[in-house]
Amino acid sequence: MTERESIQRALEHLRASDDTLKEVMSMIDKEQSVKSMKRAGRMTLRTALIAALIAVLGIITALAASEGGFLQVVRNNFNVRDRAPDAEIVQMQDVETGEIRYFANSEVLGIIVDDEDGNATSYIIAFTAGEHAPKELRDWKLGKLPEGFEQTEASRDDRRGAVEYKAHPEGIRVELIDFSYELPGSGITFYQPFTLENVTVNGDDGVLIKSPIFTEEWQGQRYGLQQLHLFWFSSDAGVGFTLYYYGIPGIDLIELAESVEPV
Amino acid sequence: MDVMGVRSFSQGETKMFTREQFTLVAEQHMDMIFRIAFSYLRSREDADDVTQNVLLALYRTDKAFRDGDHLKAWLIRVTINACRKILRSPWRRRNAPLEEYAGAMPFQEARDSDLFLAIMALDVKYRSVIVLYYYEGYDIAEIGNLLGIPVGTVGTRLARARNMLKSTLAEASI
Repeated sequence: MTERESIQRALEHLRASDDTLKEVMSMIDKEQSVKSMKRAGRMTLRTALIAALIAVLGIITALAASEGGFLQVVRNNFNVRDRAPDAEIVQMQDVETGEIRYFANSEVLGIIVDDEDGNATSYIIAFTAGEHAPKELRDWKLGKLPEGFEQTEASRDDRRGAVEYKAHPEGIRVELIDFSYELPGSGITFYQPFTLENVTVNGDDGVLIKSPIFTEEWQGQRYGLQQLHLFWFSSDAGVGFTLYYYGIPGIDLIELAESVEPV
Repeated sequence: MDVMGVRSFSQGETKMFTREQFTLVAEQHMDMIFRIAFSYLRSREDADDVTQNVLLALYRTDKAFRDGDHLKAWLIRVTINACRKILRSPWRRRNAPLEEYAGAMPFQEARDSDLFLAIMALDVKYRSVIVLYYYEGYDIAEIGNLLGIPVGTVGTRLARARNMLKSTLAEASI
């Protein structure tokens, strides 16, 4: 008996439980049932889960989305509706702290991050290879920023390079962590459900990371954003698919991409 | 290059599979998913959870697969990522004793059981390579791609795993 045959015999009894498929089909049925309810105008399962979580944490008020120019640009430029007709952005306010948090009820929009003042400052969106979203982002970024957001001082070429930056496939591997990342000393927390693994699980081929819109170096230092970008940069090599970045505050994006060693 | 068909639902959703197609694909691949998950997690419960979650992800995805190999590679990659996530989780379930689980498996010969336990006693980085190489039939380059590690690293792990297995089994037979 060959080595391969021996090992195959040793492992051949590893089989999924008999009820695995039955359980999966049951979950699918439940999921579709919830989707039907949502179409009828009821709260989505995802929103309900988020709301329940928030309630448990003592966060009570869930307000309807109030989309500013930024989020509108996201919608308009990223073809979100084509991929997820029911995509919504839900704004929730912590009644104790007044903090406003944004969640996406669709896996297409992965995360909206707030800063200390409760402003939406960043988002991450997964896309499928060949989709036009990255190009549209680039075109949008090279054009006029939405109302209420400052124009960065990066040059046109810098921005283009930042958006088009791709990770080196031979980069150093790092362990990825769940994407609930608190920036040191800033009080800014990035919330679940987004993880880089999620993107793979969802079948997407890449991730676009939009950095917080800060323009001064001190802002980046204050909020620990350079550390965050190092984290993303190192994660890039770990996941093995393309991450697009843009908007790193106070430093040249291309320089960061090419010269900073992954942590 | 054939692309597996896409079915559009009336509400605008796009799914890769009909329910019947999904059932067939799931039945075809769920043991492989479980086997890889078990090789990472050494826990029947965790491996079952991963299997279910990966199949759900398959049902939900709108990714177009070029062919069966592309689909299989996607499933393996998703499985590996799910396992890595669990391995990092502080909430991971406690494992039942491996010997107890192995004792319930219908091995034909004692050496099959010994080899199973020897494989599972290896570090996860060796177990995963062993399963992908010997059971799933991937070559070293393909494993490197699936795991996101250099080909040379795969080869080294495979060689070390072989040596450790031989050493363990030799000691057991003394």
